[in-house]
Parts: sequence; structure tokens; C-alpha cells
Amino acid sequence: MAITVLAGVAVPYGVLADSERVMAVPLFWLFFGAVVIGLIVIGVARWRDNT
Amino acid sequence: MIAPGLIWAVIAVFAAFGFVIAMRAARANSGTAGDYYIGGRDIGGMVAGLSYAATTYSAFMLVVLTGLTYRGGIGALGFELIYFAGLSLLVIFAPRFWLVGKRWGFISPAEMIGARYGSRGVARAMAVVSIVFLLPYCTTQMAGIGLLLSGVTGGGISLFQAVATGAALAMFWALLAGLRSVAWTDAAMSVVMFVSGLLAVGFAVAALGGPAKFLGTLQADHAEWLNVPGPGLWSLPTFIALSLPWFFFTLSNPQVSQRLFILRDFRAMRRMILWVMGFGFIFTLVAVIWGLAALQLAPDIANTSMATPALLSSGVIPTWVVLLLIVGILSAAISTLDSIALTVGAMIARDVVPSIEAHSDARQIFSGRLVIVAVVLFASYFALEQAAIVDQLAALSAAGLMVSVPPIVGAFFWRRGTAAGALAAIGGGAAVAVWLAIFLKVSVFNPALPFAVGGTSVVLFVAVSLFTKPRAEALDFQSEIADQLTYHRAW
Repeated sequence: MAITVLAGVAVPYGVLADSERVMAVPLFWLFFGAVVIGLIVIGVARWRDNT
Repeated sequence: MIAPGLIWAVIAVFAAFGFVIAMRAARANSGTAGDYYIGGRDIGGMVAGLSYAATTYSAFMLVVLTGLTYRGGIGALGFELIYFAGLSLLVIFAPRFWLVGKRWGFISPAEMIGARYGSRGVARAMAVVSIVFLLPYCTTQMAGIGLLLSGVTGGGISLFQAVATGAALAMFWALLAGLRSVAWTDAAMSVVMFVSGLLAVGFAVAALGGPAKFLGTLQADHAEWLNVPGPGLWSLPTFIALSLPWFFFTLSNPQVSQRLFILRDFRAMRRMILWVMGFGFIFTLVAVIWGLAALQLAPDIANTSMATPALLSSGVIPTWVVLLLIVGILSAAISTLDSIALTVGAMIARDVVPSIEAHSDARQIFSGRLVIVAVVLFASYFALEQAAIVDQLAALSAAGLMVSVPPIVGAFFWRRGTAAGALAAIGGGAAVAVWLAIFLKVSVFNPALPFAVGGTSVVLFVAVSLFTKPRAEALDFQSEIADQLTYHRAW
């Protein structure tokens, strides 16, 4: 998750800052959001519910 | 402009609806302090998740975030998604908060941290710092209500009338049945907020010729807004300065972390996280698209906080959708206010004033109710007065509240952490925050502020802990809940 969050800052401000594609940054952040959702779902999916 | 009479009629319906829910909640309450402040630890996942969402995704989203998008472009999406990524902290900390809350009967996060370090002083310090930084934040919610209602009616509803209405509703719901009433009304209103937000964005995009034309025009006329740093606001330092403290919001803001005590079981915890996440992601997109649509439909707004009122009164959104959205934003602001008031009430009743905790549940609830009234009146008064110091503290709230993060993390992961270390982290970090922001006028857009506050807090916590000894009465959370964490397969 830490790497994902760092990428969430570094990629738009580094790799994509000079990109010719106008939608590159918005699309990257949409992808970033989807990855965060995926990681959280993986994190809670393994919990055992019953006490 | 929307006719004030129409707004009043909708608010009346909204209040009646909330009244029915709050009355039902009041009947479900058993009269204990635990029931009043945390719903008897018996709130299901969907209600908890929607209530969490309504509290955390406050009026900020459709007033401030929309304004930030209007002014600075897509960087607002990144900023909000870094905050969104902070929800991942729940995967680690929600099971721990819930298990120790259940094991020792904690009602407020400050009480939990105080017990962990064996010091009422730590609980008090955390409570006081939370109050100092959260009360001004309440003021911004109240100001948001005023801005919205007076904005969409062109001043037909005065700032005073709007604030008084918000105050009355906030007080009523929180006073009547505490957390249960707040959570139930939150859950219902978050649905209104979500649906009306989607509808409003849909109509705005349709008015611009549909999604393809909206994006095409945006790329042609405002290409800069689709990149960072955009037209100027979202430089890398500004982005980091705003995102860093917000990433820790889940832990640092007690009105949010207290929600982790209200859950019925692990199943409810998982469902809560999934509901918040689903709501948060979609609502973030709604707020940002709304801001980008406002850029095209209501250009050249000097005060970007007025982007939402301007778009709502532009005539492209059907009146019934405008009214629904106003109710949604109003309820989001009230939800945040109520949650903060309840949390502050719990902290004062149980952590700040020692004589109250020893008294009956009725006394604790009564004390909490007095605090709720005081909090709402404070927020209302300063929203009307617009005092500079309150605005400064409100802007500082995210960075200031970071000071409680090291003691919270240490409570679960570092046995060597001591009460003196926690006190130094909270007190020293808060002092640095106030000194930098208020006296040296360091802007909240300057990353030096969160790094200095967070860094001071971490360094003081570790260094002072290493030079002092844990108290004999300190609790060992790690050992006490280790078996249960393993059983529940929590990380």
C-alpha cells in the first residue's frame, strides 16, 4: 500500500508531468483509486467473522 | 436563484423526516452512556458505513473540493484519492480499536489511548488537542451551510437564518438519541446526498452535450486543468502539504475513529469499510466532475467556494434535483457537526472532567448533552462572526490532529511507548503546529507545516519514551488481543 500511495504522487508529478496525452493524469488517478479499492478488499476479505 | 420559500419547504420536510428517524432511535436507546455515545456497540455494517461516509465526506466535498477543482483542476482528484487511500489504515487499525474497545469498554479514542499508557493526563491532552482543532472545523461546516443557502437564494435566506437552521437541526438529532439517532439519520441522508450528487452531475454533463462533448470541450478549452500542477494551485509542495495530514485522517480525527467502537462484530466492520469505500470513491468522482462542469457552465467565479451555489442556480439543473442536493449537502454538514459534538461530548464527560466518569450514566449523558449544545453554539457564533483565528485553526485542523497519530500507532505496535512520550508527542506537536501556523504564519499549503508537526510528534514520542519507563498501570494491548487478532485473521 505504501508503494501504491507513493506512486499516487510520484507518477503524476514525475512520469506523467510532461505527457502529451491530456487525459493521462486523470486516467492514472482513476486506476490508482481502483488499485486502492482492490488492496483494501484483499485486506478485509481474509477476516474471520464469527466470534 | 431558488425561491427561499421552496428551500424552507424542503428543509421542513427534511426536518420532519429526521424527526421520525430520531424518535425511533430514541426508543431503541437503553439509557446507558455506551448506548448514547456509541450505540451500544451494536450498529450494523451498512448503517455504520453510510454514517461514516456522511461524517467524513462532509460539506467539504461539494463546497471546498469542488472549488479546489474549479480553481486548480485535476490535482483535487489526486489529493482526495490520497485521503481515500488512507482508508487502508482501517484494515490494520479497525480490528485493534474494536477489540480493545470491547475488551475494556472504551467509548472515546482519548480514553483508549490514556488507558494504554496508564495516564489520564494523556487522555486529557488528546481530548484537549482534539477540541482545539475540531471546534474550528465545526465552524467551517456551519459556514458551509450559510454559504450554500444564502448563495442559492441570492441572499434571500440570510447567513443568520441558515446558520440558525443548521444549529437547530444538529442539536436536535444529537441531543435526542445520541449516536444511534445520528447514525440512522446519517445513513438515510447519505443516500440522498449520493443520489442527488449523481443526478446533479448527470444533468450538468447532459447540459454540456453529454460525456463525450463535455470531455472534448474540457480538453480543448481547459487542458491545463487536466494535468498537474494545473493552472497553478496544485504544485507538488502544495499537493504534499494538503495530502499528508489527510492521509492520516482515519486515525487522527476522533469523530471518525470513534466509529470503530460502534460496530456489532467483524462482519459489520468489513461491511462498514466496503460501504465507505464504495461511497467515497464514487462521491469523489462526483465532486471533481461537478467542479469541472462548473468551470464550463459558470465561468469566471472569483470566489471558487461559490462554484456549487453558482452551478445550482445556473438553471441547467432541474429545481427538484437542486433541492435534493441542498438537502444532501445540508445533511452532510450536520452529520459532521453532530459527530464532532458527540465525540467531544464523550471526551469531556469521560476524559477531561474526572468527577463525571465516576457518576451515573445519566450524569455522563447530561454532561455530554451540555457539551453538544456548547459545540453547536460555538460553531454557529463563529460562523457568523468569521473570526480570523477560528479560520486559521480550522485550516490547521488536519495538520494539528496529526499529533495523536504516533501515540495511537505506538499503542498497538510499540510496547516501549510511554505516557511521557505520548504527552510530549501530543503537547509538543500541537505547540509546533500553533507556533508555525498562527505566529509564524506558515501556510497550510506549505509542506513544512505537516512535516514539522508530524516529525516533531514522532521524534518526541520515540525519544521521550526511550528516556522514560512505561507505567505499571499501562495496558498491554498487543498481548491482550494477540490471540483474537490471530483468530480473526486480522493483519
